[in-house]
Amino acid sequence: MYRRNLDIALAAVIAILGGLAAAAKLPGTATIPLGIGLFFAPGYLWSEAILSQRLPGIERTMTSVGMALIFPILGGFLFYALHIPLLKTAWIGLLVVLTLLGVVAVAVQRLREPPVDQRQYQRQQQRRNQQARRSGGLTALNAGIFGLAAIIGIGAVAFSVEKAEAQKFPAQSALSMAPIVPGAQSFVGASANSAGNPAADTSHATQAHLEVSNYMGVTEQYRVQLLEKGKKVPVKTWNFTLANGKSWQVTIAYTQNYAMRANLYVLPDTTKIYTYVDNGQ
Amino acid sequence: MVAMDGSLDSRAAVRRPSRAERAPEASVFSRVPISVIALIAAIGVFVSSMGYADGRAGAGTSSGSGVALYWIGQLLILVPVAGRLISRRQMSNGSTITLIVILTVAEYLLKVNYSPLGFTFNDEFLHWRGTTNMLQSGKLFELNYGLPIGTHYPGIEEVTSALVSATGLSVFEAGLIVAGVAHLLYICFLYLAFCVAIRSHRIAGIAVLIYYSAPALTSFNSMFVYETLALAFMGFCMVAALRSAIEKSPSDRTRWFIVAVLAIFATVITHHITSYMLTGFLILVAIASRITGSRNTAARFGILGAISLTSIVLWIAFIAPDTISYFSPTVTGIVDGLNQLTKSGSSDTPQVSTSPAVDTFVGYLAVLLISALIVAGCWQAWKRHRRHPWIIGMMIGCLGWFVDIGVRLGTPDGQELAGRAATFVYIPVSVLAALALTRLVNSRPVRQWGAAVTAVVVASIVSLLVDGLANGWPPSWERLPGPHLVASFESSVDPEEIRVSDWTLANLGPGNRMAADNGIYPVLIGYGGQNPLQQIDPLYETPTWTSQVYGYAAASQLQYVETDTRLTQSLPPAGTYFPGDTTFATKTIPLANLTKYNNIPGVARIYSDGTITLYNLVSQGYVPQKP
Repeated sequence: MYRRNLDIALAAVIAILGGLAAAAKLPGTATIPLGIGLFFAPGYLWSEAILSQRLPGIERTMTSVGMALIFPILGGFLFYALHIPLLKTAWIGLLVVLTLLGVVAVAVQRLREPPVDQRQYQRQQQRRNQQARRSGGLTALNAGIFGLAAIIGIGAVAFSVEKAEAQKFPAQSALSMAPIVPGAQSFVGASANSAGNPAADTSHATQAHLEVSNYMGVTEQYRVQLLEKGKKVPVKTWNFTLANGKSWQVTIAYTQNYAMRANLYVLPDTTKIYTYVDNGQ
Repeated sequence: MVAMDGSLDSRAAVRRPSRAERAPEASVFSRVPISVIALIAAIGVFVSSMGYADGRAGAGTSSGSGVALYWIGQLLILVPVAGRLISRRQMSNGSTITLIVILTVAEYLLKVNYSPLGFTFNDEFLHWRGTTNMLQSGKLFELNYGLPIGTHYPGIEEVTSALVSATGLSVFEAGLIVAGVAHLLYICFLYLAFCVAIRSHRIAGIAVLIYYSAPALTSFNSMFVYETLALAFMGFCMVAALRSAIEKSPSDRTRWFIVAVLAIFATVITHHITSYMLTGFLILVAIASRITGSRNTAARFGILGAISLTSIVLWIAFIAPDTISYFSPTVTGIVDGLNQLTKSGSSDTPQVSTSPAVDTFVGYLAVLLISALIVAGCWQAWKRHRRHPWIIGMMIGCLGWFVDIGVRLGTPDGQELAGRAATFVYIPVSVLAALALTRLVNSRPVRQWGAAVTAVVVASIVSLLVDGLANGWPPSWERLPGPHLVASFESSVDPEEIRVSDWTLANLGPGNRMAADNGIYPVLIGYGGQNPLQQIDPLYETPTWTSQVYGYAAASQLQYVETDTRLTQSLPPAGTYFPGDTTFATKTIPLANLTKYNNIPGVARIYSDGTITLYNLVSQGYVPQKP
């Protein structure tokens, strides 16, 4: 009896721990395995509850995983109908509740089933073991080879990650002058055909972010000159050093009433403008 | 030999599908343990990944050694698996399914290794954006500019959001898990469905192997896209429906029926086309069951087909009315193309192929080979299994193969449409072809020649699989990841495009209407959350800012224009520079066509990294406007 229901107890414990780990924002080493357990637990329990027959291992796994993928879809639609926002807490709540309901459903299902004859069960197990041996079941050597294959497969992914990270791309420095438009981030479109983000109307902007980012692969020294009203003498000059991958940013006064232009130089060359931005005036 | 003596109503005989078969003779691969095949496949993954690394080192697909490594790796994966599955040596159900899992996992790992740091395939960006929107807003049907229709089919976004919430993984990591699990599940369910229906795990295994020659299987059907997940549910429903028809106990039949209905609902919510195909499959088997006299099976499948059809109609009516307008142009194009093809024997559709001649040749060879196998399979089906509803259903379904060829030859985008349709068309095709192939391998004359003939058969099947890979995705010009190619899907997704897209979201907010080239287009939708428009090539066709260009921009309510100086340096391997453009570029874009935006009063140059520049057209006065 204890062994027979060990699976549902385990599923319940994993689901509760998974829910707590995700809610408490524990580190990934705890959250990821428990979260995966929480994700698949409802599928396992409900496939047991609904099908409740001794499916072969592979079929049982497949139906469990299939059900685990179905539940968030149907559950999410139910939440939508109930006007419950599908945020993190809702998803965790859904999975935990489904798991606990699944525990009850499987427990009820098993209580209704006639008890398994222990001797018959042992005979079945012996038969299965004999069949596995006859069909060349998983010997230690085979298991070792499968393990080696898995290591090579995972190694291939790690190798690809390393090579992708090491891939060389053209060196660049980016300069931008973005008028500050409050409310731009909160825009939600009605349809793909409707007008764009209204916050993009920069004609009333009074400030802008002037930003330089270094993607040259090495630390660089930069000069930014801000020119106004078409004059050749800069109203402001900034000199700074940026490590690779880092950005520099200042907030400047912005208007469209007269011309504004920012030139970027990569030092020590002060004769050639690397790139520039302007306000279009 | 295979015993398929009648309808699905002969339940006792079909309850457990797995039956080992006698193996009269051995072949080269037949004695190789499955674990060793797994090891060889893993080495194959590593070798192909070395090919990818060679491409990344600088030469891309023009790296001869890289391409060679890629194909050697693929052969290391495909040949042992195909050899073992086709071999006449006795193999258990567990061994067969292990081989299928090995093949599926190995090909999926290669898909992951193509872009292991983030999504690069176009459609994956769209679902990345959909999932991110759902996680941020908590809403089910949040607008997705790149895939408005996908907004109404949020299944994969829901599943990924749930996994992200439970585990704390990123959308990319969770997406890889969801897509990988769903893809593996689909293949396994397909195998199981074949087993349950055909009642021979050997033929089922060969059928799945042949199914692997479907061009989209290892690409579109294993990407983080809604079809990948829906296919898993379709496979689940097929198995559950078959089980609900053949189980002995009424209680078990009811339980499987409930599972089939749940899988139908999940399919309908997740992907439009897959749900239509599932309905078609259910109705097809119902009709075939009626023809073959299996009334109970016909009733079960008929009811499930009706539930599926009703769910689709209700979903379109109340949730996704856009579906009709989304498919109208495609359906009209197919019908017109096929009409023209049947009337005149040829189509006006321009046949443009960017594939190398060898890929095209292998493609035609594969069409011939599969057509021959279908004809032989139909003969086998009629001769030996004419009272078997599933087989007869698959025989009728094989007509889709010839429609698929018609679509390929006769319609605009026929190559792509036919490739995508192959996912469904190849299901009956693979069953019939497997019947023919098994009969061929087991025939007395062939057995006399032993391993030599098996080797020829294995080589033929491997060539089919290679054809599926060669004519699938990615195309030949981006077989390997490598340096930037202009306006060319995955090959245009570099850190630069990602940075620019991130910048637009952080500084401009989402949903801005933009003009951009094909290269950055999907990244702007995905990471940028922007609304880049299609058919914007007039903005790049003139060296000066004319009233026509102004009028076009105003009519499009355009807010921003993106230019990339690399467009002036090389032609796009994919054929076109801009999204929605149907005319293949024959010359590069003059630099003045891009730099004209520097000199237009009121057009601000807001971002530049020396290559990509963003211009703000808002002060031209036509944005924002009320819809």
